[in-house]
Amino acid sequence: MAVLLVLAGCGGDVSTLDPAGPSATSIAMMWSVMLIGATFITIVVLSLLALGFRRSVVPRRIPESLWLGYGAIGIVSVALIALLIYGFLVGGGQRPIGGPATTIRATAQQWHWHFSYEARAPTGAVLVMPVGHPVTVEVTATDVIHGFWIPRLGGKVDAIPGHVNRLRLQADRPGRFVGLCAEFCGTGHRDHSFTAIALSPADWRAFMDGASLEALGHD
Amino acid sequence: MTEPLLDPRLQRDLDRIWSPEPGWRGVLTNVNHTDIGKRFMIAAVVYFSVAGLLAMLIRAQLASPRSAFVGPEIYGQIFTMHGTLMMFMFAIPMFEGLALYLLPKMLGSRDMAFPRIGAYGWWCYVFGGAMLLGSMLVGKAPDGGWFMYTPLSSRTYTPGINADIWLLGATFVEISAICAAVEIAVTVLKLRAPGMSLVRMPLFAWYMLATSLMMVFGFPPLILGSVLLEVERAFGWPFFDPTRGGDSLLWQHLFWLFGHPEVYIIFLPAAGVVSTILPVMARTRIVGYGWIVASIFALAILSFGLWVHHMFTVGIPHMALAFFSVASTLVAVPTAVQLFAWIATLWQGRPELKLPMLYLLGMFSVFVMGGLTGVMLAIVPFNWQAHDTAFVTAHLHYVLIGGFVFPILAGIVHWLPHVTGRARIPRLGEAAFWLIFLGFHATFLLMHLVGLMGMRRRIDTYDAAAGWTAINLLSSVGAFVMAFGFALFLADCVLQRVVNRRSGQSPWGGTTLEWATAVPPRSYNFASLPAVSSRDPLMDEPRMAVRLARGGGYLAATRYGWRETLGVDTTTGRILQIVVLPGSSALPILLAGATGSFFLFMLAGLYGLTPLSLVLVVAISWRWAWTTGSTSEHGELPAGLGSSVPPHFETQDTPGWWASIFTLSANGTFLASLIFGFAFLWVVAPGWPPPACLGPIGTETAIAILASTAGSASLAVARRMVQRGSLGNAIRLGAAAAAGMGVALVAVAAIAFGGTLPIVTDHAYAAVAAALLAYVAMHLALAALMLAYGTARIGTGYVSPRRSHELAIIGQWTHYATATTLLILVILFLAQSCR
Amino acid sequence: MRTVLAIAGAWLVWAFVLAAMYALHGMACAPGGEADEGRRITMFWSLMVGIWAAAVLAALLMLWILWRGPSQWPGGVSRKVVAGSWVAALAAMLLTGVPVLFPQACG
Repeated sequence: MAVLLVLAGCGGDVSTLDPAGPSATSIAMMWSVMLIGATFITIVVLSLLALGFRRSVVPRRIPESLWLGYGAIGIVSVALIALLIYGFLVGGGQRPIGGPATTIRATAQQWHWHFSYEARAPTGAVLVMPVGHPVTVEVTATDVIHGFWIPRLGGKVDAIPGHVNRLRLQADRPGRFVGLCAEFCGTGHRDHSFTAIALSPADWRAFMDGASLEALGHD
Repeated sequence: MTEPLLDPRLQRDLDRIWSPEPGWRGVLTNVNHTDIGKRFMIAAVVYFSVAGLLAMLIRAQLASPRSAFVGPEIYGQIFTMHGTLMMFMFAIPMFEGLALYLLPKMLGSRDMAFPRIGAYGWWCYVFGGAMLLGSMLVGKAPDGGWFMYTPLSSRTYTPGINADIWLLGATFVEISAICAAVEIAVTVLKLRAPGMSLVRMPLFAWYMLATSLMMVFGFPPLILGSVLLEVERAFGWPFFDPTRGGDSLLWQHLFWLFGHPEVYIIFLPAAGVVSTILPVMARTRIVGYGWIVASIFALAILSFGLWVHHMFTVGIPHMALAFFSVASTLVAVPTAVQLFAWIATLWQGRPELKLPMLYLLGMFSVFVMGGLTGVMLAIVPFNWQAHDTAFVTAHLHYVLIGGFVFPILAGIVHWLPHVTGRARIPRLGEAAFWLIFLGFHATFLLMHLVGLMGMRRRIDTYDAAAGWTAINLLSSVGAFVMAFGFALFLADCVLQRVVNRRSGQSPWGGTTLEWATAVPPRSYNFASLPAVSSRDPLMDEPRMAVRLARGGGYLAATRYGWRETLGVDTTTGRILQIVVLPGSSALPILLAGATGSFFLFMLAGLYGLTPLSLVLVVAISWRWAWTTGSTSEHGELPAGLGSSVPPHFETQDTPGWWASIFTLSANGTFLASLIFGFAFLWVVAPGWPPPACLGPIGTETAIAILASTAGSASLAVARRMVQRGSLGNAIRLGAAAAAGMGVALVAVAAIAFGGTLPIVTDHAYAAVAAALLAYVAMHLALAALMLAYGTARIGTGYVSPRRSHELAIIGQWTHYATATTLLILVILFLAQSCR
Repeated sequence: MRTVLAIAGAWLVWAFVLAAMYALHGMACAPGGEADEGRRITMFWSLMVGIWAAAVLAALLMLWILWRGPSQWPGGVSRKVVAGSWVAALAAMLLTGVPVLFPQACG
């Protein structure tokens, strides 16, 4: 409960803790789980440490194998394996392969973003995507390494010259989201950002048929 | 307890032999490990202060939104230098200094295995650091972030000398680090007290052994990366340029192949400090010695398998990420073994809240949290969100300050009375601790959260609307509190040195051998050397210091003015030889100056002058090697306590032999990284296949391989001749071996300059091929030089059937040159058909 | 030094397996060859499983040798540390290799 209260205060245009898509939601959930687990482990370890100073309370002779074999190796391994499985399931579900998805091309350079589509004219520094439908962003760069990141929708992927990286994203509700360059790219890095607009299905169809963003009421 | 009584005549003789020269000459020629170690630590503290001031500038800039304190250009220099100085100029030199100071004393030796190498490393560090600091003063400091990603750091996007300073300065300091690593590894393996088998070594020595081996294998990838990037910047050879067959990802792989082990290279010595101090503070023995040794090596090698977790967002397929995700979480297990062993030690003993203990508790609370956020970052999807945000900044400070700074502060507090011979000032240190501890958590705890709220690393300011203002202000206030704490800590140390009363022999009741020296220690550490029959020798014999000072141990007499210590079998600790160490010398500073001139010429673009530096380096190195050994036979010499062993140059299993093995291991790692780079570019980089391939090189390849093999074979026969006492034949065969290497060198040069190599600036294929050829050529030339040296040594009487260990070392390098000739030329031969 | 090598050797085998699997996976998923991706992945995947199995067998063999205990091996603490390291490295190898059991397209 306390965790949820803390998280409620963590909104903002670029907060990963205020997710607006399935990827970001599952990762925010993962953070909550890990935060609770980590807090618990920290308390346990520091309590064991404190008990060391209360000699009347603790037994002096505990076998090494209990401390190190069962404690350090056994318990820690079990916790790690559980976490790894959780991570693979969440990560595997976000891979940019399979299923129907709209492809959008994102090209970064110092210090602009440029977005283009398979069946439509490019939209400059604004990324337009449909709501409730997965999008595969093909990310690349023309000069130095940049990073493509829409924090409220999901994880980031680097924009690397000579390579095309794919990222699967989905927006759950219409609206505008802030996109950022995540990898340090020079003096203009701070303001190297873009806007992502998620359109309702009807607007998306009109957009793909060539309607301008202004005509759809997004300027 | 009083100052131990000495044998006055022995003391006078030892003082005369071991003391540095007086005055300024002594400053420049001193090679004593105690002094060099102290210099390293003091310089590291100075760099820590400079880097800390830079951190204060960062926090001043980020304290409020839309701050106009510094612009992005200056800010880039500030955060780059903060990271670079902390990593390369503070953390590594700090533990090197601690190891140089402590190891011989803990192991029961009079000095490190290679005092002049230690001094050379020191001067390299001084000169390299001066380059970095100087660049900051003139406003040309590196500004691309401390991991220098290409292409941002390439000539096109960083045209100034800022990046060159990083590449050259850091490489210079890394040379120093590799020197220290080799020296530490050999010292731990060879210069121990008689009877100190591996499993009786203090844990600190185990940690330093593992750390130094990690440095031997961990630094070469970065040195290679730096060399390649500098060559790309200076001469246009495209290794990382994606438009010409290079790949920026190659830089990332090479950097993180170094960068991740680096974190553990920093952590392990600090953990060694904890494992040494904590049992003393708890007045007991460490729990789980064997478990800890096993976990040290597990950590040391596991840490080499994690580098890709810094690259989870570069577009690597998910299955490969899964391998590294597993590996990254696995390191938590050996780390947990150590943490639990420490807690178990506290449970077993009677811990007291003395000042070193406070810092150890600080370590626990900070490092555990840093480890846990590390596990979070090892989980792939979470990493995708947290990567490149302030979450990572917070995580790495928890790990490095918790895992390194707190233990080192504990170590300083613990050993400062040993260095100064004075007691500490009550309560000042406690106040400093609380300022540092509370300031640290105030700075970094909520920084995790602001990172997840979308605050990226390395941005110079932010808008109030982002909602990060309160957390950043708290971070800045905390940072200044922490800075006051460090200032107070430093003041405490200085005051203790200057004003306070003398301390007793062993203020904490330490049980390792460094507390059996005088306090403060003398230049020769021990008037006579201890023998050891357990892991806690001072627990068995609390008055050992007195016995040793009275000459009751090994080597309690001097002869020929030699600096003597004992060499032992690497595993059992049985006495094998008397190691004769070199005395004060100007060679280290001269060689460092010659090395430095190379880097300065590169920096200034005076490439034509660099061969001059190389000639100087060769000439000084020749002289350096020449001053060792002896032209006369000594046989078995009495070593005290009824034992007799020969001096090291009449034995085979020498420190130099081991040092050569480790240096070749580093060298081989360098080559392996280059070959990896070739394969990586071939498979992954854009712009392949290359426009032109190597021409036919079959003839040259055959000649080079045959000639170098013949050279190696002649040397092998020459060594047999030496064993038989047939020195004349050995000289002729040695000269023939050198000639063989020379012929091979000519054949390799024919490939490079005979028109078969495509233009190197056109494509990475030709550039890497040229780099491989340069590597072979350099090693053939080096082998030829060493063979010439060996021949000259035979001719001047330094070599006899008994005194032939130098030829064993020359043999290693000659055979290595032959093997690399074979390997590289076969690779190039196969790579001829590149389309 | 042999003790050190025997301890480190356990983890070096682990490191070799990891590096080899990563390299093979990189070759399987190298850019440019989308046409026969399926076949290529199957081939490299078989190699990965093969290397993984070989390393696990090597670790088991080493443990068996330690178990049989020829006299040239050190006893006492050294022996325990060496054996413990090989057990741990075997477990690490098993865990690290698990992802190859879930072969998937590149991405």
